[in-house]
Amino acid sequence: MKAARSALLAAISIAAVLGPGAAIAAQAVSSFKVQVQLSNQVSPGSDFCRIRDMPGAFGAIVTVVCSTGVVVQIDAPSAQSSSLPIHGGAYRFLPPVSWAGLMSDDMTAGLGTVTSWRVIKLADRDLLEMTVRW
Amino acid sequence: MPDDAVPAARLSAVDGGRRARAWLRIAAATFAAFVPWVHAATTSSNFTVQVTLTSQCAATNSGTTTVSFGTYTAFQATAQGSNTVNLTFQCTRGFAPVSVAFDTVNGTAAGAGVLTGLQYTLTAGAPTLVAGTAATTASIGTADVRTYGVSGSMLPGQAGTCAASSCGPATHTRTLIVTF
Repeated sequence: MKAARSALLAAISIAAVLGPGAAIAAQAVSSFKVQVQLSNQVSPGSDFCRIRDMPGAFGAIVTVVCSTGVVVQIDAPSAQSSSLPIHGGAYRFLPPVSWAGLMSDDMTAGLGTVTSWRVIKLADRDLLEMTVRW
Repeated sequence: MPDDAVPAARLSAVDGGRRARAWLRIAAATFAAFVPWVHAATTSSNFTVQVTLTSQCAATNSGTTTVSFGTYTAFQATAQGSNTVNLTFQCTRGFAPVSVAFDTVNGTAAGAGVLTGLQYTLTAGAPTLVAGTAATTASIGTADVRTYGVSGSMLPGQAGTCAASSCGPATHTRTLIVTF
């Protein structure tokens, strides 16, 4: 009984504080849809790219900006890789070949014009394929 | 002079008596016709008509409108805009909402959101107001109509999230919340 009386008194107090003119905020809502289609396809003929902020130091990261706005980040090549993901041509590779015709993976590299290379292993021979750009 | 002859002066007196009786009859008939009017009276009692109006706003859009960004090419160099959708609310005449915000279910109250891995930002412009007409004894009048233009923008250079060469069109629902 006391609890009910207390609750009633509390309600009356709140009503008195708010007053008869007090307005409680209300809301009106209107829903709509957001729509987009994402395309990963670059339009043909727009593969011209430029190297920006060429650091001139081995091991540096260079940025290639293509006309499509695509930014390609070029990391330093891995010496263990036989086919390097090079864009734009920034490294010169010197793969040492022993007198026995064996290529070592202990190679050095520096600034140059070779853009990519790979070793193609066939049954009876190995081919070194190099793509040069200048 | 014969016995039944009536002098001219006497004749005149007889006619005058008849005429007077005729006028009396007419007057009596007229009086009888206007008796109710003569007796009508009025009295009045004043009273008060009272009402408390709770102001409101309500969305009046029918169907779902779509903020479409069209096709976004991954890593595109320019920002991608959208169309503008007009969201209308009818409000009590002279009553202005205090604020608007977006839902926080599919984004932020400020309007940011992500769809297909692409971040976008929605903007609600200042509302345009078409004032309603006042009520009259012959008409209930019309509400004020406030229209909010909502549009969006996507920043350039975004990768998005899509396992195929193209995804979508993808959609999700946002809500404009008007607080009053």
